[in-house]
Amino acid sequence: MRFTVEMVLRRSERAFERAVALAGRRGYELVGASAALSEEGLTLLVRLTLESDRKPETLVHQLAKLIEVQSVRLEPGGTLQ
Amino acid sequence: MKAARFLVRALQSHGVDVVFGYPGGAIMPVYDALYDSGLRHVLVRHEQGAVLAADGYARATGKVGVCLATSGPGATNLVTGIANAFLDSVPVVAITGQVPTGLLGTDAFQEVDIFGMTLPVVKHSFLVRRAADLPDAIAEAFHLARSGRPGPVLIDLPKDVANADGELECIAPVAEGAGAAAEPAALEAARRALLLAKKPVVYAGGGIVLGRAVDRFRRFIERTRLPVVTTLKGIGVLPTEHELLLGMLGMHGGQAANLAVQGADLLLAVGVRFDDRATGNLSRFAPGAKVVHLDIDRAEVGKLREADVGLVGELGPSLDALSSPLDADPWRAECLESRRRFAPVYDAPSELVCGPRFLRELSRRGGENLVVTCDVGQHQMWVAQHCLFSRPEQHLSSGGLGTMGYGLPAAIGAQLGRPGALVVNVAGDGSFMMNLQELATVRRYALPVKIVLLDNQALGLVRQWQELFFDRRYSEIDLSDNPDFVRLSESFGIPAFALERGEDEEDAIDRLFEIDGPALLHARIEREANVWPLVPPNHGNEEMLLGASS
Repeated sequence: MRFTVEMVLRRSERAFERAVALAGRRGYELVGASAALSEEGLTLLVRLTLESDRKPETLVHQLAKLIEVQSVRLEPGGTLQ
Repeated sequence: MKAARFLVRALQSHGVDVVFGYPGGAIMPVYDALYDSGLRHVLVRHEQGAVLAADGYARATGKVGVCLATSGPGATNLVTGIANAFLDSVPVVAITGQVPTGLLGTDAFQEVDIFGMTLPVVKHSFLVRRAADLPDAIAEAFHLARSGRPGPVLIDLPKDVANADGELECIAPVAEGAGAAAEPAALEAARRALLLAKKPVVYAGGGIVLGRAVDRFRRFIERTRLPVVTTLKGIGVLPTEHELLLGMLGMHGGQAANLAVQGADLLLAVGVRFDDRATGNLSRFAPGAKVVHLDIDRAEVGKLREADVGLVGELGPSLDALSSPLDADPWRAECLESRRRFAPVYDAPSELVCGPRFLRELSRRGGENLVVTCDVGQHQMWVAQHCLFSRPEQHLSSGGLGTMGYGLPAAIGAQLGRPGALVVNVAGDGSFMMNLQELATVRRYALPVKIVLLDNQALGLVRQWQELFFDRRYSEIDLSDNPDFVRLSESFGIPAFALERGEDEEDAIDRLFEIDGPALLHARIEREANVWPLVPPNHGNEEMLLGASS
């Protein structure tokens, strides 16, 4: 299953790396990523496209636990079987 | 004020009364600040000892454990202990020295990327690049370590930052507010499920301890009268001899516990994570049961076993909300009869010491003041199966990571945290050799830790698996060239004696407990002794091998 996750991360030491590494560690293969600083420079807007036979919701719950993650959601309609 | 001095003061302001550590180049500013600070520092003999002692301190006291190490190898030696705290959700703050910021990323002497290395095994981490960021980092580290689902937090502190002067002000510790119960609608669904269940079982785990919900859990059980099984980390949420406790479930769980879960029509899972050692073959775990899963960590609910009702919230108030009398009398009677029928007896003929019998008696004589810290292996399972505990803080065991060598440093931490407790490290000969350098720490601080070393001259649990599942091809499990542990202990200045015969077990326990100060009891046990029951890998929990257990 391929799906996309959208996140807002607080800008802090290696926040993007922490989120990406968590996905890989939990069994979700990263197949696409983009990240950009917000205009004020305090947050990172991140999109990760991932593949896994595990449930996307499980990863969303794991990502939500990261201290840097201000918000995270599955991209609407972005889930492909 | 130098940032290093501020760090020490901030630790004190967060209620830290002892830190465990080992100095070195990059952490020297902090050690200089410690010198006349009044903050107690315990010098271990290996950094792994520091972090595991901090872990033991945290588990025994419920407070945050703190450890210090230098950069490079000092920091990497912490990693196993940080992972240990992560897997068991223990509040630990690990502070590492780091090379100066200008040298970061240059492969400088004793530089490793400890921030990156520990990313998978910390709840959070900080690399403090400016002294001005230190107050926030410390306050946040302590708050994160103990709030919600606890866990380890790393603070990596470059040497130039530690040496920097600044006007730094301590941020007051964040008061931990009471968390909210699960959503009312979910609680109502859980109540309905409980009312409809004919064969309900409570599957209780370490989350009850971490959530400081033991007393409320006990009230819940007394009101609902539901039969209870526990995980390894849930041991003590009910006293071992409580009438509704069926024992530990899982790979080395008891028959009454495993059969109850496999026959249940509803599983109320409280503060558990459906760990593979508890569930066996997950697809065959509690096959007829609906699952009501209560946890503070949303990511655990439904992670491995789909929950029919997911309850995400603080355990205590959620249990209060579910607490009402239930009618499950016939099932409860069946479970309690099973408990009676399968209760262990301790009459195995043996000239040598019988581990289960010995440990049962040790815990009986130790009483409610006893704290047992385990290493990992057969003795650890015997402690879980056979020791009597009144409270979970009496049983410190490396559950998730299974860290051999945990027991002795954890005993040091537990003893410092609870000076009046009778702290006993139950060790195996394999595990003991992994951190025995900490005997020097026990001696230095005159800690009255008792060590019970069950010596089968083998890596017993590996040997058992090779016997059962690898056609007795005993590969690299022989430890028959162990040192003389009595003389070894005495060489550290710790009195020791040997127990050779089963008939002398009780006298040996009395003798051990009567020694004023630290002591080691070396007990030779049978090499072929096994842990029973055992659920073979990938089997359902009803398929227990019973071996010689009775």
